[in-house]
Amino acid sequence: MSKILILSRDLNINKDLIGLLSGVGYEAISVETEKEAIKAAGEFSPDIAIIDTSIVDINIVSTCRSLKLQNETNDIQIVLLTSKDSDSQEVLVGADGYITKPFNENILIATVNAHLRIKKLLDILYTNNSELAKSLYQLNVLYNTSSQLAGTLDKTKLINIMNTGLDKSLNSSLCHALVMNEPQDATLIINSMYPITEALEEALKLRAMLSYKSLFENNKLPFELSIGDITVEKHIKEQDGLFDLNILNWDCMFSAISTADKFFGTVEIIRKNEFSGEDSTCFQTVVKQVSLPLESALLYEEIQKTNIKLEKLEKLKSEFISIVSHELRTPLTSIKNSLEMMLSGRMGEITNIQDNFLNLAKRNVDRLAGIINDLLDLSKIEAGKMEYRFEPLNILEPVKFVMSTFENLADKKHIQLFINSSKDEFNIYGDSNRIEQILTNLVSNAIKFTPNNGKVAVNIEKINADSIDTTLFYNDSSLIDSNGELNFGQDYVKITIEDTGIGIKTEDIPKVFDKFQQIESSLSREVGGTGLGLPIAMQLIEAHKGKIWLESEFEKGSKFSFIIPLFQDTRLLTNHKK
Amino acid sequence: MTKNIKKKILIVDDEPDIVETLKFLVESEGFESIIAMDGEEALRKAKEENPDVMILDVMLPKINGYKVCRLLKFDNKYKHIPILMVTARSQEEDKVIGEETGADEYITKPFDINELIEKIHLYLKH
Repeated sequence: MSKILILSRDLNINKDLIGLLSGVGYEAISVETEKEAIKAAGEFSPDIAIIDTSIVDINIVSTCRSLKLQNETNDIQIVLLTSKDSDSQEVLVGADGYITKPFNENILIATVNAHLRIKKLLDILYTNNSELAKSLYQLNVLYNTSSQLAGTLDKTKLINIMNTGLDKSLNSSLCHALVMNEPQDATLIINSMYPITEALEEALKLRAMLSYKSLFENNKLPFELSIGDITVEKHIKEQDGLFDLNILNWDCMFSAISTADKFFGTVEIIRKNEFSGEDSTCFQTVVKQVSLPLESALLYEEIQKTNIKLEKLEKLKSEFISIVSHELRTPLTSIKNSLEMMLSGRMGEITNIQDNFLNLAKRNVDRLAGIINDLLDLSKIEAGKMEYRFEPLNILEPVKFVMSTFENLADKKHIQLFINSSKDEFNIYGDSNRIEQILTNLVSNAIKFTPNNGKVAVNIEKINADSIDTTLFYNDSSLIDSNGELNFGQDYVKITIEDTGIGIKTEDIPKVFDKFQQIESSLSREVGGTGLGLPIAMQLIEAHKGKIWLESEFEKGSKFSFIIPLFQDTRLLTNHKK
Repeated sequence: MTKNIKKKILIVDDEPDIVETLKFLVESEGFESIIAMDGEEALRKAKEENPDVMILDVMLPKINGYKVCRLLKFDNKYKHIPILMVTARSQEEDKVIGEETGADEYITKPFDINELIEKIHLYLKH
């Protein structure tokens, strides 16, 4: 029933109005003072107030405001009963409608009805607005929760984010989540508005436990659990209250936290006010949202464990390498030095046969040292631990140096060495030691596999990326710079090591850059080597943003070519030379 | 006068076999050899004997070769002693540290005795 409050000192008016309004089915009361009116507005909560403006000792404007403030929605409709000769402008402010005295009964009822309709519409609007605001808030909380959930892979944090999200969006009194950690180890995380009694804590444990078991009914539980295995973690928001067993009679929602194939725990929230259908959707959404990151968190934990294992292995490997490098080299040094000293004649004359065998021993010690060096280099390159000292340099210098170190060896086999360069300077950005290593590996191979009286030539020329046949490349046939872009138009220096050796069969060409690969096993015994020289050279060239490839004709000779980008910035180069 | 006084080479290595080879080598060249088997001894002998050249291994008990080198090279009284630092080849990063500690030469294991003798002669001339 619609309620109407009348404020007037004119007892006749009060009586008339009450009679009139009651007559059309409204509940009407009348008061005589502003104070009474405000009190009545709070307690009676009328839909409409009719104020007789003939009361001279009240301020109509402030009365209107006070009356409206009594109502939480601020929409009590105020109708002023004014006299015909009223000249105050003020009274027109703050009221919603006006009737002049003496009033026509029909007009008054019609006015009251009109304002009641307005009041009803306003009420509906208010309800809709507050529901909308609530939904928006829940949505906002959901959004925040999901973005927070995406930001962590820590199990405990995830559960806490879920609890906070539930708490904020659903305004729960108490929220408890049973989280399974390991078999026989679960944590009950309780987020409560007020402290809880011991009896309630025990009851919650039991309740969580039973709910968990009932989820699986007769099926096997993912985790065996007894109540003694549950540890409790409590987060209490406020201290000025206490929750006891009776809150278990309040409304509650329960859900399992799980994905299709993983079970993480259960969660329940308790609230005095009943949950709506929307609340239930919100609850399910939050719980679902936490399940996926929980699964990721679990995987992440496993990955971390694996990583720790891998790190240990990696450490063992580098320790092993360091042991190899020190412990193998030290005895080798002693052997090598002893042999060299005997050979040098410092210990007296040696016979030809002795010299022969000492040399044989020394050659093999050198070979062993070479193998160790190759193995160490390759393992360092593969572990990304090879250190390069890049600087602008003229690649002809290492070429000339390396060729000079092979003069003796080549002489012994009557092999002619050539350097053919189209220019005096080919500047690259490289590590001269590594460039020497690349050249040494390639030239020593060429000499090794070239029969007596053959030729080994090193040709150096400038070449543009566009004119390189990339299909010859080993691994992948792309020229890619450090930015991952194709290096069209880049200028390279191309170095070709050409021999008149035994050559390599076409079908074997792709294998030559593989580790521990020597094409003919009988040959390897004859010429020695680890089969690591080419893979090392290739890795070193690629570290210089270059490429290597092989063209060969069986029994005629091989042609190893590699390219390294030419260093463009001549200004830097001059600076460096200074 | 000076030609009659034998040049003194301080050999520092914890590996007896290497010490023995180096000692023989150095003496066969007509130098006097002084031996130290750990970092502490190396520092003490360097200061007592004031050698003409020092062959210093990196991996040493008590005080490592880098530290020995640094301590000597940063001491005005001893920084003139030429130091030939010996280490395993793979330890490239060691090479950088070695250069920072002020060693005069960096020799990799396994080293060539002729190269070592050449280096010694080079630093004796300085």
